Amino acid sequence: MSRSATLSRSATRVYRIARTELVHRKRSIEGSSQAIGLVIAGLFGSMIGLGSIGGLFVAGRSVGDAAVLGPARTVGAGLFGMAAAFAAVRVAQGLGLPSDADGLLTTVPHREAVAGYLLTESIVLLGVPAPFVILGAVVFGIGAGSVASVVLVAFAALSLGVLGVLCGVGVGAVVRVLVARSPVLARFRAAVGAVLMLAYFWVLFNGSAESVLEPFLTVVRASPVGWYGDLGLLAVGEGDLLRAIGAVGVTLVGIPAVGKGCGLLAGQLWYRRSVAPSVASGSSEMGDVPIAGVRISRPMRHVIHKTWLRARRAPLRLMYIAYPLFLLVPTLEDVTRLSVPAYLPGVIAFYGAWATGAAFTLNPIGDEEAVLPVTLTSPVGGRSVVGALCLAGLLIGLPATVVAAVLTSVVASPPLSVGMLVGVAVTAVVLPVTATTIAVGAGTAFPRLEPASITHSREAVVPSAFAFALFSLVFGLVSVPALLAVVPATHSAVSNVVGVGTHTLLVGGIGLTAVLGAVAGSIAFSYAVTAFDEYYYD
Amino acid sequence: MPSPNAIRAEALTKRYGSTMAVDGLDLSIPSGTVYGFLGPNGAGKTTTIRMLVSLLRPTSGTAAIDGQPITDRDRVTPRLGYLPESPPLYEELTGREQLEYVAGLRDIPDDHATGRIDELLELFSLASDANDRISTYSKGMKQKAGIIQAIVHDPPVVFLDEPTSGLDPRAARTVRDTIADLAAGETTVFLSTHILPVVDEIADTVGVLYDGDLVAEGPPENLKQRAGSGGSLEDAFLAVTDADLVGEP
Ligand SMILES: Nc1ncnc2c1ncn2[C@@H]1O[C@H](COP(=O)(O)OP(=O)(O)OP(=O)(O)O)[C@@H](O)[C@H]1O
Ligand SMILES: [Mg+2]
Repeated sequence: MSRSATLSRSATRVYRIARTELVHRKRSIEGSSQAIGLVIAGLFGSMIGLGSIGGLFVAGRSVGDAAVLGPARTVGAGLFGMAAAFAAVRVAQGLGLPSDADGLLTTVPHREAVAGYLLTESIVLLGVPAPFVILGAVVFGIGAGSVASVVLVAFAALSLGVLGVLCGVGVGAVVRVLVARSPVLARFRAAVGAVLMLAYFWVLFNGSAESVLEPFLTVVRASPVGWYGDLGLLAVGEGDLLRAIGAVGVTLVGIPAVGKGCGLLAGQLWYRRSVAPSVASGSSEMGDVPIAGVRISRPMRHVIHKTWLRARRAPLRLMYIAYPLFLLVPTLEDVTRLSVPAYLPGVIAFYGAWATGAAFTLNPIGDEEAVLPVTLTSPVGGRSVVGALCLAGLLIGLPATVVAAVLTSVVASPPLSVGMLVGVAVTAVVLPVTATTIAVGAGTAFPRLEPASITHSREAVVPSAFAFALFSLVFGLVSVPALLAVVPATHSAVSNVVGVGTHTLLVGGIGLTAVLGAVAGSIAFSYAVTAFDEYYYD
Repeated sequence: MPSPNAIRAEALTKRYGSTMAVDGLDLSIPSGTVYGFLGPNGAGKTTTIRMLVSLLRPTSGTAAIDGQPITDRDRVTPRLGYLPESPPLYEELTGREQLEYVAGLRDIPDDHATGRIDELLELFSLASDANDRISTYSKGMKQKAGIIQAIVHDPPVVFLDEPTSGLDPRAARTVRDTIADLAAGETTVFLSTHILPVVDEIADTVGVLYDGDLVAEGPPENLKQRAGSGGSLEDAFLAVTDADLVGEP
């Protein structure tokens, strides 16, 4: 068989791997809350993309009037850096490059499998931006009045994107290999991730982003990555010819070489099995604490204990409850200046309660995973299971919410009155109870049942998007009166309009939330109990 | 008062859309016996078991476990132990924690549960791995944990869906011995399997399901005789599940 025929068959297989992989990923996120996040991110990205296209037109017009080479190199470095960062984070998290490719590796050669995954990852990360890039190149060409520029800019930008993705995959794979080899790293993976995330936010909102990124950009700009700036501007007489040729060389030789490096790293991942953490962190011993003088039954204690143990051993499952914290980011600026805005205690009471409800109670049936048949065929009733899940959340979430809300109330500026402080504390008790009970109802109404096989491979089971939406909506509405009463700004607005005193408003608002919460919560709770008791597989 | 029949089914039927998974099944299985439930892939064995343990609602027909109707899950579940096709375990827990959890769900006092769990872990040679996470277990180890979990509370009726799948010969032997011991102690065991020698050795009665129909039932010896002199259970199985002979469409 001729060499070209072999090559084309090989390319066909790589294409098939990528296609199957894309279909698989599409199915695994379809209908999940991830899908909604992706749509939002896509809209956001499209806006940025359209903005950049406008910018490119302006840049094209200003060729000859202003120095564009420096900015072009910086933009190239930024493009490369973004593609690399996204790919690195994805691969380090275990997406993008599977840790087990046995099925594929026994079917196709190693390099085809690697090429297939790299192609997939490039399409995942660059598929949406690519049309914008091409459109941008066209617009730049029009602005600069140079047809050749269209081709050069598009080629340079796409090369940078692919190079960035491959370098990022390499970095992510190094992280994965290190974690797999080092038991210490593996153990503290979650902690390391949290520290990195905090550092990221600190950099982002301390205004120091530029000072941190600047050295990185300087290095990248000076590296061969910067040569693409010269390549893109060659036709308008700005770039350096030697560097431009160098850039083409990087595309032709560098990209395959980096791909080869990714292949070697993937081999480290696939052929040398890491040791899974087998030690059982966390005590197996169960406490026997009476709650409010009531001794809870043995089955319920076991359900609570099991829920905590599982969460502790697989904390990433609960990552999603941290997502809304992004909304609190604007406050961080105040907080880093050591001033706590007066609305924060109310917001914390609300978020703490939301997180308490979302953690263990938003997918009671689906969270049982493979054990559901055993739970259903054991004599323990729905009331005990659902009640225990609520308690598992409340026993941790309620005290944490109260402590956080009260502490922030104490240091808030301008300071809260004693009446407001008590109001915040009571709200921080009422809301978590309301949230957990509403959550079990929403979670059983829209369970997310995932075959266990999916959870092991790619992502943790996250409650269904409908459960999230229903829970957030109902809980949000129920919380409104109390929040209006305990957030100083809305408090004074409402008391002006309605014309009632501070204490009347606090009692009225929190009382209304408590009543609404009791009604919604007990309906949701009994719905969940019935749903659990009458769950059938047919 | 022990009812004479631990498992009874009358015209038990399950239909999935146009697929007839189980078609008018009648069963009466006395207490303290082992019932071997055979049938080709897709015959309806798992479906039958899931109906009997109250996880699936029959399309029509009735059944009772230890005298309790399967439509009343609260009354059926205290009487049964169940090993599903794939072992129902939380990957994050250790084997011991999983077993203690299930014992706790059944409200077995903790110290009593610990003794019983230790004994069964020892019996199935799982004691040395009991404190490792289930995510690190091999297929057979998971299967063993699933079996222990199904019998840890000494239920009067045990349903085992392919208990020996993935087990090494010694563990399979342990399962056979355990089932025999259970039956000797008044426990009824309903066992679905593809391993005919297991059934031949320990089953008091064998039922062969074919396309949702019970095409043969009786003691293993009787079935073997039907296959001709010197016939094995395998011959009998092949004969009663042969599409041409059964005359299914
Ligand atoms: N949830 C379902 N939806 C539709 N059809 C189903 C469902 N579950 C089972 N079936 C069908 O019912 C029939 C019986 O399946 P069942 O799992 O009971 O077979 P089985 O005897 O246990 O087979 P095996 O030996 O392979 O385990 C099959 O035709 C199967 O396709
Ligand atoms: Mg089956």
